[in-house]
Amino acid sequence: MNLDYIIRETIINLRRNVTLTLAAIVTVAVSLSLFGSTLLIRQAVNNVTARWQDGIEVIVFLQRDATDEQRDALQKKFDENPHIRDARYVDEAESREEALRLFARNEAMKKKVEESPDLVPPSYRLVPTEKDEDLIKSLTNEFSGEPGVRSVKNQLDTVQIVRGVTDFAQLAGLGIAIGLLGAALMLILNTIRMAMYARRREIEVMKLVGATNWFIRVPFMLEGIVQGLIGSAIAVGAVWSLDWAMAKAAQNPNYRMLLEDLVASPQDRLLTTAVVIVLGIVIGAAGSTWGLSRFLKV
Amino acid sequence: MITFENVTKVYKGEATALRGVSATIEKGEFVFLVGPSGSGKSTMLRLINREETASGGRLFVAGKDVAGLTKGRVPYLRRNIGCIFQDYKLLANKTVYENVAFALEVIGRPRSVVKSQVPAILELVGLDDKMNNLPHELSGGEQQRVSIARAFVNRPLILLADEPTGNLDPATSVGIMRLLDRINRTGTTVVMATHDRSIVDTMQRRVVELDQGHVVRDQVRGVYQ
Repeated sequence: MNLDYIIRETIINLRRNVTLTLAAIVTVAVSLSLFGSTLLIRQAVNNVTARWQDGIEVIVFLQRDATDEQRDALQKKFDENPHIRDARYVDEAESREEALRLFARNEAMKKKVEESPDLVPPSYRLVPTEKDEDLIKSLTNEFSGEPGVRSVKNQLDTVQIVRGVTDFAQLAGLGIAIGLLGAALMLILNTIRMAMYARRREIEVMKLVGATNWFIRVPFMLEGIVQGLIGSAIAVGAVWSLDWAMAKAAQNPNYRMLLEDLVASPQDRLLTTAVVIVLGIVIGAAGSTWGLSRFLKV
Repeated sequence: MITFENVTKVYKGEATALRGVSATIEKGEFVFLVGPSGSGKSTMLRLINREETASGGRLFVAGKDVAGLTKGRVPYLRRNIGCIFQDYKLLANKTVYENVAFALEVIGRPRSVVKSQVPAILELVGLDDKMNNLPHELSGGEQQRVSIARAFVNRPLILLADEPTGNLDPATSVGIMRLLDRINRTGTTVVMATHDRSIVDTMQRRVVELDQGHVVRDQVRGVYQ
């Protein structure tokens, strides 16, 4: 096939209808940016929650006036429980130290901790044998009523709330992205239809003199694919900017505690980029194929 | 070269265009198709070109059963068939040269072939001095010559002409017929549908007359009647 003919025709087609072509490109870009960002954030959030979940432990806070006997009884129960791999006692001093480290940049909280020792009671940190939700819950319930125990906490709820919020945000993002992708598909379909309509006489002559259907199709398909590709290139730029912004925010010492793991790995970024580009090509090819199907009956 | 065997064509929801047409056109023949409007002349041409397919009977073109061609083979059939029309079907935004070159480019002929063939064929039809003109700058006769050049540049075995002189005055028509005659003498089979009595009568070639989808006359060296 004649390469410079194809390139020439594709460029002519793209230029014939600049506004519609731009509309298609922008829609592809916006929808794929949204799609890619959602994907990237999803991966980052998974990284965070995976790490959190790994660290889930059951914390048994003791009353400040708990007696040594009560403590010993508890310790014995922990040792005998087959679902507890490890039980570590954290005394008041260590608790305070930990809290001060946690709030290192928060003067007000630091002050509070130092003023009221009640905020940092001694505790047992239990590491369950399995990261099983039900197990963690039953352990939490089991020790709540024991003498000398102030309260029992686990981080399951926190993780679940974070999960729920991000799941919802992701679902909304994906929904909007899919809607926009549909719009992009229709726009590309329309640009191809219009290009074909503008060139219907040429197509008629081409068929008459024996041009193959593929020869007629290829410039139009390329037109759609180029639109999809340019759109996805812009989207890749947007996704990389987001990635960069997240990485930068994670390094900011003020948010470090919160965002340390909210970073997509290089593999995640590569995967997202690939998905965005492939989707752009697929949208362009699908839109133009659909647009072509009606015109090209011999 | 072209064989109709009891060919019938019924258009969807419309009247029957051809009713059991049988005719054989040999290689190198010049055949006029005559008859009133709606008698089936154009349908015969469109079947040869496989723009339409027959509803019944068999049709062979250049040794191939046309109905048996897959969609992908149709373009290759058409490369053996040149077509000209009453309304020329030239591309308004392309020059004379580009219009003719287009026919070669889109069937993938290399540029060197295009560069040598196009000026040669334009010289044959007498338009080598108007290569860079646009169609609207030419007279009707000249436009028809361009369309003949485009149809013939690929040296097809068959040339189909659907009322090629329908829009032209008699003097210009004579010029076009001379050109078609010349092409016929190179061995190209020419099938021409026409209403032009004087052309048919002066050319004295084979005449196939159709009426309501039937062949009512098939005469060697015939007249319009």
